[in-house]
Amino acid sequence: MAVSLVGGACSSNSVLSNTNNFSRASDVAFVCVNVPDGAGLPLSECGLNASDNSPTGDPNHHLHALVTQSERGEVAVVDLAATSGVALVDNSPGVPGFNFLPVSPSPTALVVDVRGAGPSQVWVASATRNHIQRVDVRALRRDPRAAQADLPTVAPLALPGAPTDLALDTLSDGRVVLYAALPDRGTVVTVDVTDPTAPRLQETRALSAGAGDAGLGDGGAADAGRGAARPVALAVDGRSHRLYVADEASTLVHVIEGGGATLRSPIDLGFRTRSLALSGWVRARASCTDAAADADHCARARYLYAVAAEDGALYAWDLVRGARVRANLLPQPNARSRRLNPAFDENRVALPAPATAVTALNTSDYVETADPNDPEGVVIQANAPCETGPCAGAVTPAPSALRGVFMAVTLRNGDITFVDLDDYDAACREASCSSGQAAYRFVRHAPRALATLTDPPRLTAQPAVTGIIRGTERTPITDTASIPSFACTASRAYNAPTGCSTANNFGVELTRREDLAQSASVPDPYIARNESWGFTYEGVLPGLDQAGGALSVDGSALRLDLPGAAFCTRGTLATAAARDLVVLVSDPVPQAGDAELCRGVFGSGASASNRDFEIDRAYEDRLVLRGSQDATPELVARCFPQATRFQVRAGGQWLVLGSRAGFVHGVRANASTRECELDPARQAETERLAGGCLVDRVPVAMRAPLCPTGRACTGSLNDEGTALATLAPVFANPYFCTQLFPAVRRGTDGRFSAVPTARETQMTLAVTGAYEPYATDVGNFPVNVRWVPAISRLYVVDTQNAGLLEFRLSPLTRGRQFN
Amino acid sequence: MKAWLGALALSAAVTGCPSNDGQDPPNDQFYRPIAAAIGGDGNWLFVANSNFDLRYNGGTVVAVDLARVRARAVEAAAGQPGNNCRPDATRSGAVVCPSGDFIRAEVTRKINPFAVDLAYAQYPNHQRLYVVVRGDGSLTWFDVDNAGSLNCGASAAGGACDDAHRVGVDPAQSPAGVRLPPDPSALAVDPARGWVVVTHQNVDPNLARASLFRDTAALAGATASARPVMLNTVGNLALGLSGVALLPRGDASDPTRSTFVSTSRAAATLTFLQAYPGNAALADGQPFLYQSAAVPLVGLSTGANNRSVAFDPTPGANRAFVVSRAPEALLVVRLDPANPTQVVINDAIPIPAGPSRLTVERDTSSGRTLVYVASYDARRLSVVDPDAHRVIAQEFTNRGPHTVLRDPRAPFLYVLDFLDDSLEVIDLRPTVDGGAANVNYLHRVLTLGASAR
Repeated sequence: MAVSLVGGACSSNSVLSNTNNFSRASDVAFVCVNVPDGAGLPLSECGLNASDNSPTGDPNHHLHALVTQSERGEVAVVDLAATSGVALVDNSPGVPGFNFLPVSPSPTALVVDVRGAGPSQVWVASATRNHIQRVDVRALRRDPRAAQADLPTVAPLALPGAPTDLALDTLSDGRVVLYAALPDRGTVVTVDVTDPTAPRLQETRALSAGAGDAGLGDGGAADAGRGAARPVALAVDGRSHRLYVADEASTLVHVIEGGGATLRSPIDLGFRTRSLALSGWVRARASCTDAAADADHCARARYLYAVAAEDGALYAWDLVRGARVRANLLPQPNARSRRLNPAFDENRVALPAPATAVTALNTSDYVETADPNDPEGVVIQANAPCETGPCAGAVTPAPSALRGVFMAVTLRNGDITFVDLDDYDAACREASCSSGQAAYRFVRHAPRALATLTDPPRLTAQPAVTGIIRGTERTPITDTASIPSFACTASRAYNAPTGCSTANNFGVELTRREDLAQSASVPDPYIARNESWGFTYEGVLPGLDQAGGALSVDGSALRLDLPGAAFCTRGTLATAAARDLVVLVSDPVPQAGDAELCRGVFGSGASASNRDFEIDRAYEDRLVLRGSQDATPELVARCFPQATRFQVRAGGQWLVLGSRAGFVHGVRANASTRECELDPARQAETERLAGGCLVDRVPVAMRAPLCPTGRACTGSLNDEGTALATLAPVFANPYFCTQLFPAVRRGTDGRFSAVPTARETQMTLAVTGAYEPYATDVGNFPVNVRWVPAISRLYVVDTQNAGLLEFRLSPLTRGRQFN
Repeated sequence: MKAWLGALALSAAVTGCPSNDGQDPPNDQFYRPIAAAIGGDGNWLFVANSNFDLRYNGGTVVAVDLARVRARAVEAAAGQPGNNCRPDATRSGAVVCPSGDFIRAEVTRKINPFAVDLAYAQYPNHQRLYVVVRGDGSLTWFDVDNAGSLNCGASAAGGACDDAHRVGVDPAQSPAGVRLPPDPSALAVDPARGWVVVTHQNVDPNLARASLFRDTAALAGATASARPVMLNTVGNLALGLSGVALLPRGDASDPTRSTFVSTSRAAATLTFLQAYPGNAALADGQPFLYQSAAVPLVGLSTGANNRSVAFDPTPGANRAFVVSRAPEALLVVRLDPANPTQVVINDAIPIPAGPSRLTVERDTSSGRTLVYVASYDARRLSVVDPDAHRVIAQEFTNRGPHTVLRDPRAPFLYVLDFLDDSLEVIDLRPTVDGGAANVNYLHRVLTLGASAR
């Protein structure tokens, strides 16, 4: 079945690609081939026309992609310059189906080695045969079954272990070396391929998982006891001829120089790594007021990006400063160290999913030349950067327009995203604003924004209010005067209007940008999140609507056991700060003699009564409950002798639940007693967040004590029946702050009091306009990504059915698919 | 004419009407083998034949003599073809032998069709085999022994198990009055406590998807009359529960409960089920099964089609291996014993198409953990080193590899082929004969009972 894919803005290109000929594609490399004789050429000789992908120069110079097929032990050859017919090269047309070049089983990596003079080849590593195999470029389009008398026969080079990655470098002395990572041997080997027909193993460098590689030998007695490293991936800097080695067994990135001869001091990233990529050079940010104070976002730099072995997290290392980058922190001023993703540590890049592969993406506008004044330096030339003034009304480049220096990252969830390092259109994006206040600002090390941020984040509408009148169905509450409300003013008297409007975001203060003057500051799209939040009065703690609870009398107390409940982990509290409730949901099923008594006390079905029990003490696997005069522990145990369904509810407080964040609480189980307690660190974090908001309305020193993290508390009234901001605890999370004023009623005696809030009263708000990372689908399981600067196209390898996918930039557009 | 009719009537009286009982399944062959377990002191492989296409009037459970299989495999690997065997046309150096030479036919017992899973448990005074059968909605159980005997109340070879050995069919057998819900998918056993948990892959929200049995044979002093009893079912679980495995007990585990982890083929969720022995203070005091957590699997595309699950046997590893079909990968999942609501997917390793079941081995000599995964659609067995994050070896199999087991007593791997009705033996010996490299390492050396093609 033929599949035709059409690129977005470009003309259609009906190159046919039969489906699913690929079999667990894993790696890709590119080679320019002179089709008539099969000779390899520099990549610069092979361009592709934007309209039909035909060769731009010599029509015989075709760019090819070589894709390893890990399941069948083959390399698929794809003619990217094919304008008709099938792009996949069928190496054996006499055999039905598409046939690729056979190589050794389990090919793990391949590199293209094109020489100006002399034979060109592709080196393929096999982790099953423990060798590196040479494939002559001239053989790429030939039938492997046919005699190749004109090609040199080169036996595979045996290695002491299974290679997982290869890297090629031409040294300053003209030698051409091939590096191979052998994780099971803890070594990186250097193979001299200057004469590609006679590759020879030159150096075997054993690496240590302990601190300090420098001075190590090649695995002798001096290294014994340090623990072997597991080098799994390589990244070579062609300018300095340094090889960076990812180590799965230690937190070190090893640095090798001089064709393997010299081991430099390693870089301690603090985590084990799985893959690496070197970025291009980024310029110093002209708009930074104090670059020294915020080198991560402002300084001229070059970065080593690394994927963590443990969980696919992405981190960055500044190679100029020699320091870890705090990629998750927003730029200065950021007095409260706010993060792009509060759930990540400050060093982790805020990707939407774990990374599978990363590569540098330096577009054609980026030009790097050697610095004549500095042997190790470079001169960065950024072509045509957009440098307009703020609010100049310039046309805003689309988010998918990529010009400058980036990292392309494929994600485990099937998407690809781009990390901003030096966006040459940043100034134009920051100039776009609708109200004189720019919403967008460039954030180095952040994934590219999905949408053009012209307006600040805000609530989508007035918060909706619902309640449960009957059963479990929610209905809107129209009599809003009878329920608490978000505070929009410093005070609110009886019967006074709320003062809530879009201007004050209906009483919800989204965290503001610190880099703008207080009076001009707007909510920060990088801190807000597009999410719905529900404030539910005495809501059920998520995960704590459980069946199977066992009620018993322990001494004189009522005890509820459910060993798997994880009460503390799920946020249950029974302290002075909050005392949650247990509600027995299932009806009593007592012995016959107790039936009437139990029915009378506890009711049944819609007429249930006396089902609420305060929690006296909460533990990870059990709760101790307080009985009541009507429902003593003994009676409860007699009336509920069976496994019981129950709910744990936030007692007298509002449970705040985010549609993405969930219930962000600060409860933990005491390490020794396993009793639930507030985590002081989490609560202190909430205090810190609260201290930075609503300062105009109520000074911090005058505020009511906070409620536990993740919960909101209704404020109280003064003697005159006025709700005051000083009497309403501030609710704060990383995204927003608010306060709750009570509903006020006046009794017949003229006295004011707060209207009790009905259980399950819910106020829902939704935030929009926040930053979202750019991501687009590239298949079910992308495992590799490569940028080909010669043609300004990006290629993604999907190991499932998608195969090899092509993308163009500016704007990012999906192109062809080869499988 | 009358004479002719009379002769016809006489003939009919002698022969009777054509039989409608169907054809009995063979006692000495595999037929659509679906699941297996090793028991009987590690020398017997018990295989459930599902009879999935109803060619016969029932499925069977057979006992394969592993001692003979091992001996034959060693001979075959050494190039000795053996009697009754023929060269394997699809694998150089391997042989195919009739399964009847290795199956103890006289102990074969008949069960209903559509068996889906099988598990073995060693108790203080009993050895039990459990087979969950979709055809009659039962947990069919057997007493087994070190001689490979299978006792389910039938006396003759090929005899059908009696009703007493088919639990979950009659609600009257259950103190809770429950019967096995439809569409069972897998089962797991806690031999320390006698729990048998069955998961169900139905997607009807009104149906239960997990069932609990308890075999009193696990209790100290259990007599010969000890048997499994169905206790309760659990609803409101993730749709399409598929694989299930017992979570190894760690230091943080509650000593009173057993935790089982189940995957789903319709939801990106891991479901944690706990079997609780009951509270003596309660009037019913019933043990019961309940959902203790439902944890989402995030960060995948889509992560909502998971099959078998198994745990790393390395003490303190706290990781599970999950066969995923979306994407087609082996998921390495880190569990936090102290926080049952949290799991982290450490890795997703691409594996061939249509992965089905897996088994995990801790190689004590190398210290490596290896995962063997059968890929039904791709006809491959993959050997995955999760710490190396890749497939380190692959072997082509027959047409329908489904179940894979590691021999606990010898360096062989067994692959049940559902489509070709065979058992393949994979050689796991890196060296042979005093240290020489084994050319058959990670390759098939023997097949039992491949059907003619």
